[in-house]
Parts: sequence; C-alpha cells; structure tokens
Amino acid sequence: MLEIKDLRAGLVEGTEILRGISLTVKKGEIHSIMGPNGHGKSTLSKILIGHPAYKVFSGSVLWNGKDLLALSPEERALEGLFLAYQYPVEIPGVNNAEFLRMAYNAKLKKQGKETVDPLDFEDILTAKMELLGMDQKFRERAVNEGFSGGEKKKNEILQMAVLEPQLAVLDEIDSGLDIDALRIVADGVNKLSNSENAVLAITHYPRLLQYIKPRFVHVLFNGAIVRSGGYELAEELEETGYDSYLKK
Amino acid sequence: MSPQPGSPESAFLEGYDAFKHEGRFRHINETGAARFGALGFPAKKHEMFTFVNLREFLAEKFEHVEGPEKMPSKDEIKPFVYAGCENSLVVLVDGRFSAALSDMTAHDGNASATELDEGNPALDVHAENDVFASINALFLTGGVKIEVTNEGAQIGVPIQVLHISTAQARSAGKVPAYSPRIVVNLPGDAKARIAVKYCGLGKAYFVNTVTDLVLGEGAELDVSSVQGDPASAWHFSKTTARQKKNSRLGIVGATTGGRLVRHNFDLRLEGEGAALSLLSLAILDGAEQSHNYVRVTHDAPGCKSFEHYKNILRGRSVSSVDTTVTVNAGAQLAVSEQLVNNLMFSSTARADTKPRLMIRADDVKCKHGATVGRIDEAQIFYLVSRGLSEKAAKALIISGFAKGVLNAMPNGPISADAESLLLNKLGE
Repeated sequence: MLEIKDLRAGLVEGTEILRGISLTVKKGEIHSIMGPNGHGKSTLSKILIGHPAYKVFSGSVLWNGKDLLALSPEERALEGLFLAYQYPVEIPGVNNAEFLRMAYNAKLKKQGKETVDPLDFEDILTAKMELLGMDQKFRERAVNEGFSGGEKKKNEILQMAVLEPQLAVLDEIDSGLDIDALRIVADGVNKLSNSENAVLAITHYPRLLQYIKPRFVHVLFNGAIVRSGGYELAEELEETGYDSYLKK
Repeated sequence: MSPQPGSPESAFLEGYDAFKHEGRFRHINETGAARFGALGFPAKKHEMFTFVNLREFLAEKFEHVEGPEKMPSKDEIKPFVYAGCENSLVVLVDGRFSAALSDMTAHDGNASATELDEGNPALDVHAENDVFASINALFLTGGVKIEVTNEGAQIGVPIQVLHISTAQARSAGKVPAYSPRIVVNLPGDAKARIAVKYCGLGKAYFVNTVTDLVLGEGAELDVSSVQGDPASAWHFSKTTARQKKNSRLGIVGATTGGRLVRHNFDLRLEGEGAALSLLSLAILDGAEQSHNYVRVTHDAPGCKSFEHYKNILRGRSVSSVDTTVTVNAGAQLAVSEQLVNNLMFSSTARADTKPRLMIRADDVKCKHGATVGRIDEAQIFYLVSRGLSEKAAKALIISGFAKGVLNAMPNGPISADAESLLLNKLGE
C-alpha cells in the first residue's frame, strides 16, 4: 500500500530532517514509529499528507503503485490517506457534522457514487458515534472549537471512522491524553482497523502501543530508521527509554 | 445658532424652512436644529468620526422627506415580512410609521405599536452629542412607540420592525432623506424579541434612524437587525439603551454595507446586575463602508457587557470599530469583553479597530482584543487534507466566521434572511 524509499526531506527553506527513510506498509498491518522528540517523526507525517511547509529532496513514496508525492493533499485524502493531527486545528463557527458530511461527500464523489443529504448523513454519523461510544455533542459543536485536548483527539478518530481511510497516520494521537481518554482513542483505532486498511502510529510513548499492539515497530532517530522489530521492541523501549540512542 | 451661509451645514438645511415644523414635534425640531447648529458636521479629526470620511456625503444633495406620497399596499410589502411575523409587525415607510400596514394582533394586547407621543422622555435631545441624531430630531414629524404593556409579559412571536425606503425623490437630482424614530419600552420582567429589517425599493436614499431601548428591572430584550439597503444607500443609526437592574439586552446586527453605513450605540447599564451583548457582522465589497461607534457605560455594580464584531472585507471596502467601555466609580465587579475580528480579502480594503477601556473602579474584569488578517492557512490545510477542495474549504471557513454572529439571531426566517443577504454576497 505504502512504499517509502530512501526519503530525504525537510523544511521548505532547506533544512534536512529526514535523512533516508525506507518503510513499507501493507494492507492489514499496524506499524508504529517511535523515537525521541525532534528526530523527524512528525515531519514524516507532514510529508505523507503533503503539508506545504515541508519539502521532499530525494527518494520516492509509492501509494498503491502510484507516485504519492505527485498528488495534491486533497487528492491524497480522497485516495484514502488520513492524518490524525497532533494538534488538530480549531475552525470557529464551522459545524462538525456539516464539515464531516462535506468530506464524506467529496470522497463519494471521487468514487463516482451518489452523495448523501444531511438527513442520510445523520444516520451514518450516529452509527459511527455509537461505534466509538462518543458523545452526541460532537455533532453540533464547531470543528475542534473549545475542545479539550482529549476531545480534539477523539474528534480526529471520529473523522477517521467517517472517512474510512486505507491508511491512517496517527501523529502523536496519545499526546496530552489521560489514561481513560487514551483507552477510548485506542479502542476506536482498534475497532476501525481491519484486513483491508492499515495504521501508522507515530508516538513518543510506548503506552499507546499496549492498546493497539502494532506488528511492526520502528525507531526513528536523527532522521533515519535505526532499528525495526516487532512489538517486543516497544516493550524494550518502555524499559530502557531512548537513552541508548541519544548517547551514541 | 444658525449655520454660516455657504457652509455644508447651511447647504444641508436647504429646505428646512419649507419643512413643516409647525406640527406637534415643533419644539423637538427646534432643539434638534439648535443642537445641529452647535455640533455642526464633524471636522476631520472629530473624536466620534475618526474613521469616517464624510466628504462624499456632504457633496450629495439631500431632500428631507416625511413619509411617501402614497403608502404601499399590504401586498407590496409582503415580500419583506418574515414568515410568522404577519400579525407582529411594525411598518415604517420612508421614516413614517404606518398604523394601517402594522399589525400587532398576535399579542392579544400584551404588546402595542402606537404613534410616538411628543412628550416621550426619549425625545429629550438637549444633550444630544451625535450630529446625525440631532438631524433626526430636527426633521422629526412622528415615530413609533413599541411597548410591552404589562409587567412580566412574555412576548413569544418576534416583533418585526420593517423600514422600507421607497427612495422617491420629490425633486430631480436630490436624494431623499428619512428620519425614523423608534422607542421600545419593556416594563419589569417583560420579555420580547424584535427583528429589525431595513430595505429599499429604489436606489439612493439616506436613512437616519434613532432607536431608544428602555428596559425595566429584570426585563429581557433581544434585537436582531438586518441592514439590507442597496449599495447606493446612506445609512446612519443611533441606538441608545437604558437598562435597569438585572435586565438583559442582546443586540445582533448584520450589515451588508452601503455607500456609508454608521451605527452609533450608546448603551448604559444603569441598574445592578444588568447584562448586555452586542454582536455585529458586516460583509462588505466594492467601495462599501460600515462603521461602528460604540459607547458602553457600566454605572452600577455587577454588570456584564460583551461585544464581538466581525467584518469581512473585499474590494476597496472600509470598516471601523471604535468602542469604549467605561466602568464608572462604584460599578464594581464589572465584567466586559470587546473583541474585533477582521477578515481581509484584498490589499485595498481597510479595517480600523479601536477598542478602549476607561475604568474608574478597582475590582473589574475587562478585556479587549482585535485581529486583522487573511484566512488562517492552517485551517484551510486541515480541511483540504480531509478531501475538501481549497475553494470549498475557504467558503466553509468564511461562512463559519460569519455564522458565529448569525447563529445568535432567532432561528428561521430572520437568520435565513441575514444569511442569504450576507453570505450570497460572498458567493458572487
């Protein structure tokens, strides 16, 4: 599904942050990228979604065999790539349900299907909210406006549930969450993942991974993947921390 | 004091002698004339008109008109009446109250609209400091008093106040000028909603309104106002409010702009625990202008005032918000907030903001803030990364910005009218 090859990338003004990353994610897989702060985890997520402040210097990213980097951010989303943001943006006055319906319809349109009216979408949204055990207040509130940190992250998962992406990149979805909110968010991710989609969870703390149990764990250090392994690597990091990498 | 011959004031008063000031409002006209003479049109740096350029206004030739030559029929005004307000309607045509077109039967005598009495205390203009309000008094020939008749009465259906300007000048080359005057009176614990709508049937006109809101103890009044005059209209308004103990006033204004629109608010929280909110949205394009000059005064302890202005500017449009909250000595525990947000879409548009506080008490919580800018790129990207086109994302963000104010209007035809008038402008 996703094939990153020797990717070098960084800020538009030229600072290199990612120094040759290669990573393959297949359908049905859950991957985790771990690492200390400031070593390129979030940059990778921004590059994948096509954020204009970041630039690819060399390397390639294939998406189902296509060149992902040639697609606009809008096209990437419509193709089924989803980024759950570390800091979701507040959009005052824009109704959450209305925004979700517009995004949902944009995807249906792309697939050549008929769009849904607000009434039909109500049912779809209700079902997703029930699946995630989410408060109905998310429906009527403005997008992330005045949401607590935990509510914002839950709202990202709700968007993921509605848009049903092929690949969900979760950028520090666990940051700022208390233990209960973390469980709710992780439960949501587990309920939504299946054999047809994939998850790339970027995190600093191993705790999230206790709940979503990735098959593959990668350590991103100084812009490169320095170690890959199974879930046991996350457990090891829980014990040792990142010190052994930082001291090198 | 008579204006100097050849001065803009003197030109403006051309025809005043012919004006029928022998009527029952003669004393008010004379006081208004004296105030006009004393105040005069503001010089460039006048404190109340810092951001308002009157040059084009003063170059225009106005003709003061009292009421239309022929009142329109009920059928003719029907398109402007909000669904549900047919029997809760106060109509002013060219500034003249029409009892025949008005209908307050929905309220079973709990609310009324009657011809304004010349002895009404709101008509004391001796201390008027706004030159345009003095002009309103100068040319006043009538007005309307909207009253909730009994203490504690709850008026369910919103009362629509419909200002129609037919823009029929009597003489060629002149712009008709109207001076509507409205007094709204709520006794103790009464509750009502008023939906004001301004519209014009013709092109250019000058509507110069004064509205006085009087709230008794514990009274609650919500006023929504849709200024939908054509882009060629001049629109000045002054709104005063006097609030007694524990009363609550909410004002929501939507402005589509005009040649020059200026709203002056003089709002006084006179009784302990009174609360006020003033929300305003202007969507301007071309050379349209909209200005707010606001003075909120806390005179008693425990009062709250909240002001939020949002302006969306395109083309060469101009907006300003000049607002001062004064907390007088003894008005402790005041809470006030002034917020101005300007969304700019053109490098030739101009937005001035001047939120100020004057505090003479020592236990208060007052804050103010202002923003000027384009749409936040982070917001656009967030929506685009969910599959929305950039165009759809921008439209959604702008309408969200506007809805922050529009959602405070009563649901149904009133907010729908404001939305279609203002948001359609963005779709052009």
